[in-house]
Amino acid sequence: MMFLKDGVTMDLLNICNINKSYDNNQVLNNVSLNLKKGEVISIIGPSGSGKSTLLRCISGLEHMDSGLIEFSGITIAEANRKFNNVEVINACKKIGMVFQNFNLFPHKTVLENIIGAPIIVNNINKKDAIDIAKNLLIKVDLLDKIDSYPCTLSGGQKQRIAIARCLAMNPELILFDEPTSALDPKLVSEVLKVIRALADDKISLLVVTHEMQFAREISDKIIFMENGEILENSTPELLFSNPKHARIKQFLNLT
Amino acid sequence: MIFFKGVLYLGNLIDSTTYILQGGLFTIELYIATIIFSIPLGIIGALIKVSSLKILSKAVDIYTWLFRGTPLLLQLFFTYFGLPIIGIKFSPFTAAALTFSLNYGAYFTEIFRSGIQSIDKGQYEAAKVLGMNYRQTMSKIILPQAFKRIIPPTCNEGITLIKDTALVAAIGLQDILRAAREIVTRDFTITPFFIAAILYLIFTSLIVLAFRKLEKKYSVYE
Repeated sequence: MMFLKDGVTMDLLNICNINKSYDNNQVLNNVSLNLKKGEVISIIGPSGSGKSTLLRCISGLEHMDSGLIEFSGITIAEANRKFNNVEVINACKKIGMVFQNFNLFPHKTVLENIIGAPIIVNNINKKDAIDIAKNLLIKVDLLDKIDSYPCTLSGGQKQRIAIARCLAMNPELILFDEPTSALDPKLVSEVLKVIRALADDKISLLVVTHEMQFAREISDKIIFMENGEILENSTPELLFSNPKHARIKQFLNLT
Repeated sequence: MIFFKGVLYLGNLIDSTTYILQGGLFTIELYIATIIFSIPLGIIGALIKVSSLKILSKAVDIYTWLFRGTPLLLQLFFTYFGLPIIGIKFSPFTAAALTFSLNYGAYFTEIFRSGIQSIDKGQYEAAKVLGMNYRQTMSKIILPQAFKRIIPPTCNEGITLIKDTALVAAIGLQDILRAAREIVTRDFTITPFFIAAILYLIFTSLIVLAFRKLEKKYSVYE
């Protein structure tokens, strides 16, 4: 845990007034958000509310129009600035991301998918990388698929491999972008189980999801977004039992 | 008498075939030279086209536009008959190899570019969030996948190239077709054309076979 002098836990992630629009469509409207180390925050809200775009800004896949993102006290993204220094690159390596449609590398086996980045990005030797990969495969309960190609796996298995691949880089924060939305309903629970285990391990998570019950159970905080704005940011108990906005009530009843 | 005629015919056939095969040797030499130069040219061209190097990319655009937009025969004439006028002279083989390499390099550039661009952008994103830089992403993730996708169109080009080599007869080079035609005019017989056709078919079949092997090797993943 990182502590400031006054004993307040320092934010691991600090998002400050970010704005983003495509053409005339404002997708993120002055969004600010803090996440402490070990914290699990879920972002819920209707489709097109900017949830995914927010995650993509944090992971550097999208540029912002204005605002600032800090990670472990380092500015990793700022509008109209490009960061190429080692400090920022190393900080960004500590942010993992899991996608809705997995994005596994189809030409690599499960093992190769997992050990690729640790070997070429972190210069870990192959033997150690394989050991790490095997442990992670045990964790996601897919050791028997170690030499399979992704095309032979089910959606749930693919997503669990994607999570293992992300964990192999030893991230301090993992961004989940609707990790179960592309899955057959039967396969959702196996993926949620793995994510839940990460939350229990006190890995910081920022999860965009439509699984309300799941969000409620694992999150320290829930954020409700609509039209690019954060409407409410509170604890699961408060948000689900007594939301401030009528709009949230309506949304929760619908789902 | 019939036996004698038969032996004579067979002898003729062997002579013709040997003569045409010598042309075939030349065809193979030109083929290999073209492949050796045009494929790297295509790779470089494609990488420039998908990169953010604006000016270079524009230059490659003009290159492929020019070489894909004009007849190969015109390009061959230009190199062999045209350039000597301004003092640049090549041997027939060099002129042919150079022209063919540039022409096929242009086609390969576009084939490889389309292969690279057909890879889902999610692959770039996954590589990026794993901390890979552009070079690592291209070499480990994108190009290996693009390679699989360009095998069929590259095979097509490989077949076309065998047949295009026949154009060099126009600058006096002794390839399969020219050798065959010479015997046809000399002996007034149709057989050499069949021999030439069979040789071309053997070459193209070998190429198809090689590419099929390659395709099979890469079929382990979707």
